[in-house]
Amino acid sequence: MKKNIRRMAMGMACLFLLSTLVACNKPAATPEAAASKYPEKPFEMIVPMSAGGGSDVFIRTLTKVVADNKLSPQPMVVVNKPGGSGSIGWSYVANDHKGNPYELSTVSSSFYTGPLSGQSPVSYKDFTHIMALCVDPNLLLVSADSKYQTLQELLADAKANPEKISAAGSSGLSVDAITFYSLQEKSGTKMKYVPFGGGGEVMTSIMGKHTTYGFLGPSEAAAQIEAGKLRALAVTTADRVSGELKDVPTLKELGYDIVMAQTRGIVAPTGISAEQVKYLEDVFTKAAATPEWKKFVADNFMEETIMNSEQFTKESENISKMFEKYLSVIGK
Amino acid sequence: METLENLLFGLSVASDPINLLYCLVGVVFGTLVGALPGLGPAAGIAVLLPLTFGADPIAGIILLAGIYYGAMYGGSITSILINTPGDSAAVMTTLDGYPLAKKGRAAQALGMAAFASIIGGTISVIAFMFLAPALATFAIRFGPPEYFALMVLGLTTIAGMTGKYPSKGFISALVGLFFATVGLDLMQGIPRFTFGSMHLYEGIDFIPVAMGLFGIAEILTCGTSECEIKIDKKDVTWRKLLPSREDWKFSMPHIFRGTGIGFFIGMLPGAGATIASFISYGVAKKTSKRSEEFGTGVIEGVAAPESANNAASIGAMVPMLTLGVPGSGSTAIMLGALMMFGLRPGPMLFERNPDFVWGLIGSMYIGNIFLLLLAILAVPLFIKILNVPRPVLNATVMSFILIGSYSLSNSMFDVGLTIAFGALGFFMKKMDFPAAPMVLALVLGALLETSLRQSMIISGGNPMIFFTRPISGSILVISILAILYPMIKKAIQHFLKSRTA
Repeated sequence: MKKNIRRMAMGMACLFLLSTLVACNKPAATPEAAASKYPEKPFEMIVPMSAGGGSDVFIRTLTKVVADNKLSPQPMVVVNKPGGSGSIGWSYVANDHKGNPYELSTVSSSFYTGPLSGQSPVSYKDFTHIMALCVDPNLLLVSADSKYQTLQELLADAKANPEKISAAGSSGLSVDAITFYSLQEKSGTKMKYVPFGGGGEVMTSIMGKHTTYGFLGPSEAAAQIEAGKLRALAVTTADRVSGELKDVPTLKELGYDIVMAQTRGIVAPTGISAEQVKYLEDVFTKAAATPEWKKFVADNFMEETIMNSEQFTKESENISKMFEKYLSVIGK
Repeated sequence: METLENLLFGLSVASDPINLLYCLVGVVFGTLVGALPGLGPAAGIAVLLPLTFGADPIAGIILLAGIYYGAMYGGSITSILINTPGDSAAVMTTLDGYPLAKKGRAAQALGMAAFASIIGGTISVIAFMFLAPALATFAIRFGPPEYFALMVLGLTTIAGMTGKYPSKGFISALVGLFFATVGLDLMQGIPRFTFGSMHLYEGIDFIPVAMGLFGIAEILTCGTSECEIKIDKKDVTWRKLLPSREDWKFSMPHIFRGTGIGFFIGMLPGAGATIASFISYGVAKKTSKRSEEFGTGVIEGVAAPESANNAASIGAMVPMLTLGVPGSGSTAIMLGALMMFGLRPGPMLFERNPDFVWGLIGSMYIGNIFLLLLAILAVPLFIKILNVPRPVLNATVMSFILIGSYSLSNSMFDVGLTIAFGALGFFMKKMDFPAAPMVLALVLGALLETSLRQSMIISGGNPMIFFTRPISGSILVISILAILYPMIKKAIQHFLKSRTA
């Protein structure tokens, strides 16, 4: 008797599971798929970095928004392919999957610096740009008990004492390094750049005053600024960021014409059709309009910067040119 | 008092049935991925990450944390039974765990690993609960010079792992240091020893090396029946499973010391459980009454690294929650998850989301109890692995190693690398070169070089920076004493002898 009941319960549970599976599949599969054949299989979202970083969180949140709002009839599966400063993941998309509209990826600073320094076989020209969604600013920070209240004070001291002030940032070919060297050039100072493995180590270095100042993204630094442990001296975007950081001046305002922020967007291999680009652009435009996405962008102090395929391609060209210019400065 | 009230609140959050379920799933799954060679906690967390999206953030973080410390225990199982570390933090457990199994004491070794893990974990949770913000301030004082000093201290523990021929141990360590230089240099991004392959840009990960040198090499050398471990049915009774009173007497001080070392090193960003278990083993060998017997199967050789790696996994959460700085690869993924949940780790997290922080702390107490039950119930089951015919077992382990190495970065290159290190490991084993120094040197080498160069930039090329800063100075003096101690001891003995004579 007892056994029978258990068996029946098991059977019921199986049926229930099956029915929910069917129910989930049905509404999603019919309408769009009938209109055009694309997409007919799941997308692979290649993150060329390991899990947990800025690019990874960006892609994972975006695909989650797409899935939660049922914007794509086919699932988007996030795959991390780290290594070679991103070049392994990007060449996997651009070289191994040319013309495949199911392999998407994202961009970061090494997307541009990699090919320029000869470390990546693929450059922005090897990708179809789908759309850009936001810009991640960069902050110049000191520890809260540092004697420098403003950037001017810091740079004045740097001028008076060459080779005394040190800055922490991520590796030697990063946005941080480029910002540092151009600031050094424009202010006519001589400072020391100390590269670290990642944002966490940079944070420790600033808070522990192992270096005089350092570079961090607002999403990493905001909690410490709010808690009164870090002080932001400048932001690297063209305009001030909104919200809690609205009092932080831009480098431009302070008289140093440097705009250096990380554009985040979606790219696909070359050789995909215009309709496919249009389709993907549509999906991500809808995703960018959802309140969940807007909350993510605001929570992480990013700036919403929607660019379509054409604008994004143009922007990539500009970014690459800018990096080229600054990389030659570092080379000196 | 307030802390205790908070704890009660946290326990009530954690004992919500759904949270309990997530905690249990996390611990069981963590133990499994930990035990499977090649799949470590980071891979386990990444796999189950999407599962937490639909859930409440508290349930999500409870699951991820459960995987993390569950894996730290799980790694010891395969280390002890088949000499193949389940993950990198369990490499040291093989050194004495496997010889213990060969002596027919596998059950006690597994039991001790479980108790050491759980004691280490629980003490760390208590420390975490009372001291987290204060400890975080201390962790910040570790700059590049302090890291350099700590890495030097880590390298001195190699002397304890050299086995029969010290010179072969040092050669193995030096080759490991050399492997650590492969990849793009952090300062200028210049590729070193990459031979034009972009797969080597980010250096050689130590997981393929550890899996190859330990796992594959073990399989290759165990083709014959010499490695069969026979387990007598009579030995698998409950009483025999538990470590004896004598075992406890030897292990207790090392468990506490290992917990302290593990928690502290786990707290330092970039160091993590692997380095913690290495240093804990090294210190245990130096301080144990029977240090000559280390490597031949002494129970404290299991207790020391196992308590340290579990303590480190909890310690790594201190900077993650209070500073938003991950202490290890696994906490980096957890931090990403927190950001997706819309939580901002930092000092304010404790004030703004007390249910989250205290729920997590509460769950770690409960999780450790789950871990204990799981360990005790499952030990007789795990022992059965030894009854599996060696060819079948080898084939299974090999496939897990290869899958695990592929999962590192979804690339076949790592699979090839693992096999290559397997071949190297085979010859090293045949020629009596110990593998542990190579893995340790590889893990420490990268951080050693980076912190040395960072310190030199900061000081403008003046090496005195290592001695003028109090923390790095003290650690370096300890390291120097650790190197000189055997010589001083000998000199004193010699002196006394000559006096009496």
